[in-house]
Amino acid sequence: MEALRVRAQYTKVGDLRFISHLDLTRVMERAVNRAELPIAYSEGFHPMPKIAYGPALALGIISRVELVDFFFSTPLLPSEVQSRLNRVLPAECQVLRTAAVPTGQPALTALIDRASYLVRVDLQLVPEANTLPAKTGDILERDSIIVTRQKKGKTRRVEIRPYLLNLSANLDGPVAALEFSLRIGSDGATNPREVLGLFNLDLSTPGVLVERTELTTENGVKLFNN
Amino acid sequence: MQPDKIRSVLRDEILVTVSKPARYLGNELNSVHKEWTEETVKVALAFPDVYEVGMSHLGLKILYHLLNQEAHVLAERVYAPWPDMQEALARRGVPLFSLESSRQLKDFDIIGFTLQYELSFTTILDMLDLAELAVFSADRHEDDPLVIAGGPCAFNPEPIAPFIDLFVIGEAEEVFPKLVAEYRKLRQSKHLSKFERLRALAELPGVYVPTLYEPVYATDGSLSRWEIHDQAPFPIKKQVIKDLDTAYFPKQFIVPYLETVHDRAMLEVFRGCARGCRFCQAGMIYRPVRERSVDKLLDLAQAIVVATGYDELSLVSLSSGDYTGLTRLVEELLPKLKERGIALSLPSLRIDTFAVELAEQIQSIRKTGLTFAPEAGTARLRDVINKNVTEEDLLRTTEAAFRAGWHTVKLYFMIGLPTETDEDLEGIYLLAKKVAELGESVRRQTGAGKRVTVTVSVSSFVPKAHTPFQWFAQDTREELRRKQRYLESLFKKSRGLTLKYHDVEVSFIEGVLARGDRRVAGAIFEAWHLGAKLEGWSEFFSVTRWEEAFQESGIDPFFYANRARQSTELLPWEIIDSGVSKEYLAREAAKALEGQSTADCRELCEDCGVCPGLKVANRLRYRGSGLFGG
Repeated sequence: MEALRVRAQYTKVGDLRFISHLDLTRVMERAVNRAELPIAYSEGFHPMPKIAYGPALALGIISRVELVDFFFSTPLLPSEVQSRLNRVLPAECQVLRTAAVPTGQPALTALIDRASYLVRVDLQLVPEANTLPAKTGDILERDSIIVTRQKKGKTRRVEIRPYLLNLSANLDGPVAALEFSLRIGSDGATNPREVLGLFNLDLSTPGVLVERTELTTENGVKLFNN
Repeated sequence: MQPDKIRSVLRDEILVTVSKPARYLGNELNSVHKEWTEETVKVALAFPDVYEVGMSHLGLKILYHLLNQEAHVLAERVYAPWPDMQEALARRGVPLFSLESSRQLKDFDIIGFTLQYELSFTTILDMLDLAELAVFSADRHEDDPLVIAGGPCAFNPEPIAPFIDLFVIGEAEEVFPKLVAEYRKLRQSKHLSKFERLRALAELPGVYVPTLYEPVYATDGSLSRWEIHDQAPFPIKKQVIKDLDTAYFPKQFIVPYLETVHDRAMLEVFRGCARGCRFCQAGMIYRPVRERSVDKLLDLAQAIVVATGYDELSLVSLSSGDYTGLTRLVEELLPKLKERGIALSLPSLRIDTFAVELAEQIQSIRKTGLTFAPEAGTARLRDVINKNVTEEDLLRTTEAAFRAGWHTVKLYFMIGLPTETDEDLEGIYLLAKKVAELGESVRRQTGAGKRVTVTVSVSSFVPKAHTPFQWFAQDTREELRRKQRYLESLFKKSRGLTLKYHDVEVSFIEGVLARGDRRVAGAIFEAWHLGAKLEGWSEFFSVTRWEEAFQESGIDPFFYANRARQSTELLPWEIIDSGVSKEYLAREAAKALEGQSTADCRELCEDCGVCPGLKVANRLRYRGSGLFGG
């Protein structure tokens, strides 16, 4: 039985961008154990701690807006959850804020519908990125954007235009900044890598740093009450 | 290459492009990052396989934390990079580096490899090469790091002796700190050459410096004697810790981000095994039995779960069911762990009903099914190998397991054992069939839903050094394949039985390496040169490459794998004294051929020589109580 649901916004920055979402879930579970927090467990033969995450963050991307809900078996202050977790979590994964959430509210994955990203490109390393602002206009005007995906040796062509919501770019001194929002639909999705691909960039291009900057509902409502 | 440069190339260019980059971060929880100073002795602890395999190994974790406790020592880790990472590093000219500080291995004073299985030998060469070091000791420079090795395969160090400057024989907790202290002292004498330092280190107990011993071979190809240089000590005696309660055991274990092979907290309940299975090298070379006390284990368990946050704690040893304090330990530990949502696991179960009761208590075992190892199919052959388990034991135990609700049972057997006949092979099938039928009848009685499955896993026996079977010929590949086909024909008929067996070619190469002499190094070098590495992974193992390597190096693999040794023959690994006497091994070999079993040495001492030789004794904490009445 869970007596309390606490939502936390946390970071995944620095070297932790190189661990997968699954690895991150283990970091969280172990932190909860080490902090000796009264986490609730699922029913069934092999009980699992009740921790529910927002949409997974792709490996290589940093974020300061990640969301997770913890379900506790006994009531405790959200601020205490935050301070106790931060004592045992790595510096690259710290809880920035917490809030109590009604236990009956839908899961984060059901609530969150869009994710925003900021890509910073070092113009010294990638000089051709100075054409980003010009290219964004072309891409937004297109009705259809087809990308190819490889899965199990098969190539598939996929339409991603409906999932690309906003796209803008500007040059700021030595940096080209690209911002976009993606819809996380239940019927399909795209990802930052595919958007970068439209500009001949990749997560692994030296001088490219991708950050997730926002997670919101369909109406653009943030998931924190404050 | 400077560590800063390595760090930035990794993070800016490489890590996002390779599989599982978390392998290469080095900043896991409880990893130790010590300052690099002039006075510090820097040790790179190397596991010749990838991160997930290496990080599952308890011994190297103990050593890592033990060395880092010492004031003037720092230890960092290095594992074999996966091929995609190797390629990425090569493309940018980045040498193999340590995880913690991103230093190239050349910057270390000592590189220590752990030798857990023979098929990792080629990966050692590969890692030396990636570190921009010559693979042969003789070709390395005066100021190159000392390349050392230890672990079970060091009990026959000869096949890799030309690549390694120094071997540690026995338990590293006992030898390593002394070795590092002596190294540090010697380093202050600037005028000493590398050879002079090695010569001085060779005086330490449990240290084997192969260049001081030159094997001389007879015309029939066997070893005739050693030419010992400079009156170096002979033989090299295994070193052990005498009391596990006072021995160091870490609490702040490193916790990997990645899911490793054994992704759980590990608590070593005892070391050694007294059962005396004649095929088992671990059972011989890790003698005697030394148990930790229940109180010590409870303290450690508490500290480890707090420091790591793991959700599973495993009680490890060669045969944890034999621990004399097991009942009390589980009774006290289980409620404490349950309170924290932590599962307890006991990986090595004995074949007795008590084991099932225990497993029932420790529910976490349910998820994997139960595994038992009768090893041989008939009572006769079990007596030959001294696996003292009866058919009734197995049937009673599996019946208890089925009644307790398990429906998956896994049985481990070996083929190619000495004196084996087709009747013994048929015995494997008949035994498995009986277990499956028993399971079905229990199911019918209890009305439980799920069909019983019995998986029979059959490996091919590889004779090992320092065991009673060290003189025996390994079955040829043709014979092993015939036996596998025969088993297949038997198992084909029956429902509910699944047969799995190991690659015969792998066992053959293991057989050559396990009992090889120093000349076999030539074949290991050729195999590596032809591309062998990470051969523990079936996708990277190639027997044709090994066959080419044997041809190139003029090594006759059958001489090593498939030849019975004379009892009078000088064996290449006799340079190592495991404490177990050759006479005892010969007695055991003779008893094997007569089908006579030998009692557990806690019941009756058969004078194997370990206790007087190493001035130790079996250390049982709770004799007369619990499971094992003494």
